[in-house]
Amino acid sequence: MSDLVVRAYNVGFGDALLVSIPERDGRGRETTRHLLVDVGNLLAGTANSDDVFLGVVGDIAERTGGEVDLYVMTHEHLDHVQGLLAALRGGVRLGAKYAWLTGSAHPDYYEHHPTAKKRRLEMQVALDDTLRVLQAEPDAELELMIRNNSALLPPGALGLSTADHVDHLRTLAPPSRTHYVDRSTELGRKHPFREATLRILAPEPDTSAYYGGWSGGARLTAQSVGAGPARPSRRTTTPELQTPPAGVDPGAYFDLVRSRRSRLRTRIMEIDAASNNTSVVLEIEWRGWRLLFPGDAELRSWRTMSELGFLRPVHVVKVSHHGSHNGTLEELFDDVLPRVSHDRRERHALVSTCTGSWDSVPDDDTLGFYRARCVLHDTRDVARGSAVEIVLPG
Amino acid sequence: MSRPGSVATVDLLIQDGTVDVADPAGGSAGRETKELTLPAGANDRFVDGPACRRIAVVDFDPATGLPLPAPARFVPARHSAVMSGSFPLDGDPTSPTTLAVNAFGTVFQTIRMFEGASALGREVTWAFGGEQLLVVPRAGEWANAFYERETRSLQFFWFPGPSGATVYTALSRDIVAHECGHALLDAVVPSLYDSGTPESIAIHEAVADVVAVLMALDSDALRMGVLARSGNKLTGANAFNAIAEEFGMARPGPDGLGRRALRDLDNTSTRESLAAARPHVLSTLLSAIFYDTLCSVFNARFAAELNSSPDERGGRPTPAQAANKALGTAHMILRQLLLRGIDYLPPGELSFADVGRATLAADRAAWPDRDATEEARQRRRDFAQRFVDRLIVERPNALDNRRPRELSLPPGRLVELRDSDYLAYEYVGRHRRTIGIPDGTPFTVLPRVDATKQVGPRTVPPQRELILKVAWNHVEPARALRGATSRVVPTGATISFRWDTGRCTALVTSDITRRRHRIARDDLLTQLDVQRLLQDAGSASAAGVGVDVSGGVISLARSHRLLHLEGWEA
Repeated sequence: MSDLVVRAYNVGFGDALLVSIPERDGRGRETTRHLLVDVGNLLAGTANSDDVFLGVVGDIAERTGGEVDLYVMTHEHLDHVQGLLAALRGGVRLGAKYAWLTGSAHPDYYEHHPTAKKRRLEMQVALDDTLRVLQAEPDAELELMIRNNSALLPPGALGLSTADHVDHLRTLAPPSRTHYVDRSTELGRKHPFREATLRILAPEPDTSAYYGGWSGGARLTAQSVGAGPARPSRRTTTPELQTPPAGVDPGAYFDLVRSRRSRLRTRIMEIDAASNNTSVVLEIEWRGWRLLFPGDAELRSWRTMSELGFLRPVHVVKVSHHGSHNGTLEELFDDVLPRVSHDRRERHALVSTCTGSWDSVPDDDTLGFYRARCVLHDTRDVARGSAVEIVLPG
Repeated sequence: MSRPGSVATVDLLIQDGTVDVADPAGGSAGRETKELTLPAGANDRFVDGPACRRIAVVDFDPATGLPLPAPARFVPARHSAVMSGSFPLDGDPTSPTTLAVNAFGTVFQTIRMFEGASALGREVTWAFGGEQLLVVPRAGEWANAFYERETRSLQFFWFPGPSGATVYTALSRDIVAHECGHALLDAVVPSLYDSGTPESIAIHEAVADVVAVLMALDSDALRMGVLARSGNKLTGANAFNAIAEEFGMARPGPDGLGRRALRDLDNTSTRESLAAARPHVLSTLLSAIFYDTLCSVFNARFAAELNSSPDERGGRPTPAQAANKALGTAHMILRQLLLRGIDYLPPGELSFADVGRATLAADRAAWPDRDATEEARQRRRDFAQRFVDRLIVERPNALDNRRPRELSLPPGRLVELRDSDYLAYEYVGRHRRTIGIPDGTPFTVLPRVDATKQVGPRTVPPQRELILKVAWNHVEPARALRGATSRVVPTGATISFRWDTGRCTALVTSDITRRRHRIARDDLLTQLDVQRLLQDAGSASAAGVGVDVSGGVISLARSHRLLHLEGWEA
């Protein structure tokens, strides 16, 4: 009897999760099918680069014969999409028999969802606004946040083309086997698994549900000034304005300037959260084991899944959003990992994360919740390019 | 002899960047020259910015969003011993200099009007604790403007108008005065910033609108222009009852229809007709009552002026002269009614009826009914009746207030009451039942206010009064939300004393604990929760409305921000 193996690769700040599932056919013969959830990293900081994918994707290709059975792109963030094209550019090719991309990545999605389209346009303007400020006065953390959401930027902004990476994922599998999915998608004949049961818990078909707290509103820069968002950097302020103009209360001035910057960050965080909440949340059941892969789902998506009654106790859960505090909803934690295993089986959590990319990620308190309930596997415990493994006996 | 205050001469727009009552076709904006005068004896001067001790402009680059040097220079007059001078414009109607000077000058004048002897009679302390209010004339691109306590600032945005021309909110006298009105009201009644009902939030908006009306009335040119065009009438659409004409015309209303202004104070709304309205629209119910009062005072005074006895040379005023004089008087009375009434508002959550009650209490504190003229008594009756007509209260006497004799003190004790927290707490504790503080409920006595106010024409000596405010929390059952089943509602009372006699001239308590108030608070919280606008009150960077849940008790914070949140700003 073979085992199901979950491999979480250390790719820096990003996800690359290979689930190898043994399946018996009608005559009792066993075949291992491979499901790959996301491959990408943030391409920021010394801990993140394309180089890692040559080895990681090479390893996956070797284990799967160069073609996974199902590839799942949870959402359009750089740290989830950019690995396969990066590997291809380095000469390592990986294909898929089937591919699922989150519903809102469909090229025509926004034509059919006007509210989501309106919000997306607003977010593009907000990102553009932030980029203008950033170009005049660099801000490493703000840039990091923008980079991760660069799918909303015009191609080439910040030297990135996230859209190219997503386009590559559209071609992994034949067009007839490439599906854009949400929780309402009928999954029959959209994957090759026979014994394992797959269920999609999120996202909602209309992703505008995830923009509830969008503050929208003010832009700090004029949209009519200059042509295009990615203009060359120019500093127009005088160095003296590192201090307030004469006659202005310094405390009030610095509070105001910081508040404007903080407002930009809040908006980008909202954009980031909305995109995270479009994550495909995938539940797999196999021989009594239940595994949950929530991508980067944040609180709003978890609440919606809870309201719909979708959350059930699991044996393996990927810690959402790299261990960020906003990827785990404390009040719903018991639904997924009750204090005692519902069937006394062993339980595991795995976090795919990296120290030093974001100040507050991973969040120690959040990881503490998981440690208190199950065995926590952390990609930081293995060398770059290697994988932590969870083995579930069949 | 105190040193005279510095003066800065500025040219300010009378209305908006493109709207001018003297030029109804648009295209030219009328200006008038004003002298901004710092208080005599104040250790203060005008400097580049513009800036002075209590107000400073901070400009931001529209291309980068980053701060810029001061956009306007102060040019001292030759031989000025007190550093008087001017902030000259550069001839460009939308230059950073023009925007900065217009916003600064209008804010300066609004504060002066608000704090003047015929209004509050004292300098306010900003709710944010600092001394200087920042004015940002180019905060960014958005059809909005707001006061924000957290950044101690008034922020004015620009946006493309329907013709493609940019609309600058910093060029609108109404908008600048309105936002400054928010800052000033926040200084006097800071607890309104955290209100829990649409009505309480709307009070901020209504007061700010009437402050804008008062500032519009402050312009001689506008007064004469409106009267000339209307045939000496204040009814019908005009520049006083239309708030922010340029903005309103550039942006359709919530119903998608075009409009002549952002808000219209000439209306016949009632509480029933606006039952489901959001705070901005709801506010027009209260502001219209004050506008109606202006109109009725004007009408009475205009008739009196026309029928006045001939002067010593046998001449009578022309209708235009009579109307202008009547409007000047009506302006003064409206200013005294509204702004002195604000000073009597109890702390905590408030209703429109509380505003009416405080307004009448302040008016009667200055002139008790027995000493007041019949015209003043009639004005009070009319004012109260408007609250009845608009279905805010059932009977006019619902706006009456008490003046319990036992709250009076010997005049010599007022200094102690003002200066000693110990004595103030002892006084309130001794009278807690009279004041209405429930047994066992802790209370807070706020810093006392000592103000000297002009209570009539300048021929009448000013009155000095002491105002004491006490705050406490009312806890009520709440619709279950986020694990909370009860809610804290801040409430309180105001007690005023005449300085010369120590007599209690008013006890004003709020009326916000009725069932309909509780339902309104439940509904607002639910609505904000459904729209996911509630954020942890402790989150420093939160841009939305704050909510705090502790021990099963929920409370709201920063609800004032609803007035400029997307979807709630109109």
